[in-house]
Amino acid sequence: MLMSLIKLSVNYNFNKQMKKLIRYLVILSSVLILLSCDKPAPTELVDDSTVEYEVLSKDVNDEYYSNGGDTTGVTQDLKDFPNLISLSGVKETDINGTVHEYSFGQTIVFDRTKPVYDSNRRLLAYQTVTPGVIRIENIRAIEVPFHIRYRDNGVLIDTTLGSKYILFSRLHPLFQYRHNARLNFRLTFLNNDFVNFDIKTPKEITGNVEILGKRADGNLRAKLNWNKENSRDVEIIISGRLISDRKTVMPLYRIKTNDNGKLIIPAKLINQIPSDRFDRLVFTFIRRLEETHNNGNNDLRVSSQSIHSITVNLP
Amino acid sequence: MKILSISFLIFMISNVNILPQSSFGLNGYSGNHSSFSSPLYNFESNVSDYSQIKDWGFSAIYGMEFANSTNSNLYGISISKTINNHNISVRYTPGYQKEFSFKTGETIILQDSTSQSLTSGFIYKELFGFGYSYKFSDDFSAGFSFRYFNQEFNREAVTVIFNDNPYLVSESTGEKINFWKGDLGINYFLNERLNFALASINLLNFGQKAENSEFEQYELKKDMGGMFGLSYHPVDETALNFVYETTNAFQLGVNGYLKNFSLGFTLFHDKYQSPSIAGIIPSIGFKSDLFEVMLSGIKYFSNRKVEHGVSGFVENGLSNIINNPYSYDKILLTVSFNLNTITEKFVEFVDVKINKDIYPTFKDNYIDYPFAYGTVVNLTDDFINVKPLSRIEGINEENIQSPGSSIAPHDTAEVPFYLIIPEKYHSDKTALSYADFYLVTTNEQPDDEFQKAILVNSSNSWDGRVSNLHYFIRKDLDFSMMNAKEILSKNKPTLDTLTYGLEDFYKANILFNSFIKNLVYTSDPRATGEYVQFPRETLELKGGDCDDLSVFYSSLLESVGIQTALVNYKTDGTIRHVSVLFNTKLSPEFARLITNNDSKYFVRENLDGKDEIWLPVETTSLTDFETAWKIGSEKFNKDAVNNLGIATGKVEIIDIY
Repeated sequence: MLMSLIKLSVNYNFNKQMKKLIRYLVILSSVLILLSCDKPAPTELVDDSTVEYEVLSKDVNDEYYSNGGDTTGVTQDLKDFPNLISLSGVKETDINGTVHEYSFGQTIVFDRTKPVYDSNRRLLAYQTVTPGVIRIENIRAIEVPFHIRYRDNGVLIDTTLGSKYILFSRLHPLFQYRHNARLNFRLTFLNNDFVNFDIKTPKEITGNVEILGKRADGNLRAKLNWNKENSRDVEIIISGRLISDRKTVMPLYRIKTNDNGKLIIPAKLINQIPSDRFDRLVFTFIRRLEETHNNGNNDLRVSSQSIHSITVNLP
Repeated sequence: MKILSISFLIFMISNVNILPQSSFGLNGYSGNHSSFSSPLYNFESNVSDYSQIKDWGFSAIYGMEFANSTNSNLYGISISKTINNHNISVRYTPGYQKEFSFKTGETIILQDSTSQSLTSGFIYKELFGFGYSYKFSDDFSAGFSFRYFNQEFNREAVTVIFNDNPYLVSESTGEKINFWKGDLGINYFLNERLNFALASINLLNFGQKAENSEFEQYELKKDMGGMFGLSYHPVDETALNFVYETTNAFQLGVNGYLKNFSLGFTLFHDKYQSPSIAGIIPSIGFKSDLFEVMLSGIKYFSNRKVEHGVSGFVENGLSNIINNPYSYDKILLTVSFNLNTITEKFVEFVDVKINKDIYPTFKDNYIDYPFAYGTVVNLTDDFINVKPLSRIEGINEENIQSPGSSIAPHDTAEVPFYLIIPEKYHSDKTALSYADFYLVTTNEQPDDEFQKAILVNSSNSWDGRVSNLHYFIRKDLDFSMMNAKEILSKNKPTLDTLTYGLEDFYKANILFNSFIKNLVYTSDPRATGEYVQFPRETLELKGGDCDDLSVFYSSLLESVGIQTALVNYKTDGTIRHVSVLFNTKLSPEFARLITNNDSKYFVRENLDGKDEIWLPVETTSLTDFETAWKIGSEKFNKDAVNNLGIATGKVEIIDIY
């Protein structure tokens, strides 16, 4: 058998092929790199919970706080000085864990034509009036002077704006604030005209405070828990008791947050409270129902709140 | 199976697996098939799925994300290398990152009674990874991977400056956390239709942890678990795939393969996403010899452009960087290159057997008869046409292609290798060389190669077979013709006066007396008797042994058209003897024109059926023609005729042509 064999030039020129590949790679890589300056799109998350921090004590040397305050340790925002009807069911847990409960109601009616200024013509408030008889749950409120204290050119000055109406369970044992209910309010004017309506009260709030961390470690913080009522906000006032007189409780921070039952007050806030000026902290949980009726200069704010104040030692 | 096999063999780009957060891959299951995959595709499937890459593999994924604005970026590049049963792969994944920016929900009232909302920003990245797998057998492989992650948390927090007039400010805090994840996996092929995979999820975790307790809750989830995968091929061109993760996720995929195209759909479920089937990954691919391109998309069934709350993020955290409730629809282009220089085998050598040593002078012999046979096995399920190529170092500069053979599926066949020895080839020395054998099928490059040592004799070497002496006779035919014609032309007057029919007799006489008579008998210089001089060498050396002298004389006669044969006497003990028989072309009735002695000639029938007188000549007599004829006749009569040498095979007459 004589075969016709074919000489085949099988030139396995791998180098040539590799060069071709490398060329493709370089081109592709360059294009990709040029096009790849971008990065995957970020996702913006929306926080469905809110926490608002505010410093209340603008001047820690001043025991008067223009934001308003009262002996319950509860600040009442009198900004813009609306006429106010306020009902409070208050619990106080003292340093020993003993709980004291009382009810408090007050009504303040301002006369917008009679402003009160300090010597620097800074508006302090308006004088108040008592237009008639106020009954809450058919219990007559008494009229008491409405004092304020302010610092004028470095001098503490007490002044009286007029009178306001109060109902205090310790003075009027029949007056008991009921939670998650409707309390009747009636104002009978001097001409026997009257205004009568119910004020809705919130569910009772009961809080708990746990101080975590150490001041020395810079991680002193407060873990707060309360019975949550998801639909509304709560307000938490953090106050400090002055070492100087062991009586005055000075509101330091106001925190507004969702009524979700828990909050950790950051160390940056707690750790910074000077322990040489304050020996105790008062955490006041406020669940408030509030309505504002706009009426020009006679705005009316109707506020009803459940309050629980807890006193703890400041490490 | 045919399509699968072809795809498998044509494309050596395949899968290297480094497990990320889970088994989710940007190409779905389309990237999870051995015939259509790249190093990047299967990083997400199974760490142990042994790479089909035979040498080097390179892949890149570039993608476009449809967020509120459209972003495009490089998702990853990877390179892998297979060395024997070991596979190593490395990938860089700049696009495997997820960034969140959000308002913390905290607001501070500043000194001027204005408010400021606090913000945070978190970035999760899988930066790079490397993997190793080992193929224990065709059915079983195992491997591991390690991946490097980076998390960066930045948050604005409220702080108070507590002096005489306290006020709130925002303060930024941040932390970078780097850590590694390691996983193990195995892959098992039960049969051609069914294979299983088993791998860990987050088996090893080591590295930094959040020092700031605020950030602990935002760290990438590292729930430990396992993954079970199953791939079933109900028909050759279709694959059904299923993966279940104990971390409550699964994927279901179907892929079709047709020639150079693939089409696939993968549905996936993730407990952190809704609806129950969170999305689908369609893909279409095309492949060629050099590269492979796949276009795929990730379409989520829920609206991804809605606002997401922080509380959900805090509650569930983030488990997967590239597939999570905050991932957007994507289109991805994956390009893979085959950097392999090693061809996928359709056939392979079992062995190569060298039939005989190489005698360069016998070159025509190797055209007719293979010098070697390769035992070749077909590794595929189809008939394969094999082109055998061979090359002997020192003889061939190019590969010589022998006739092809068709081998049945998984059958073993003998494939012959022929040899072409160039005309100009000459070697004075016998030497050991190497023969390279190649098998070529549909690939440009050989499927397999084999090298074997082979003895290449010198050009004067002879295997001792008298039948092969004709190669030496033919080799210098031009030289012999030149010399013969020169002598005969000088004797033209004598030749012109001869009786018709005696020309060849007298030419043989003249040539013998002119050349052979003057030579000297010398034994082979190599002592073995397997060394044969070409006519030119015999004339130049002025002598030789019986082989050389017979070759020379036969060459002279053949060069002037006188038919010759060699007489191989095998009866001379260990020494072989060769003499010449030539055809006078005289018919027996004219024998008396040259001799009256019947024993001095031998009658042979030519191709036309006519008897012709052949004369035995003993070339080693080194006397005159008459004497050489006489001695040759006597020996021929004695050994070939009287002793029945021809009949018994002890004397052999071998025609030169």
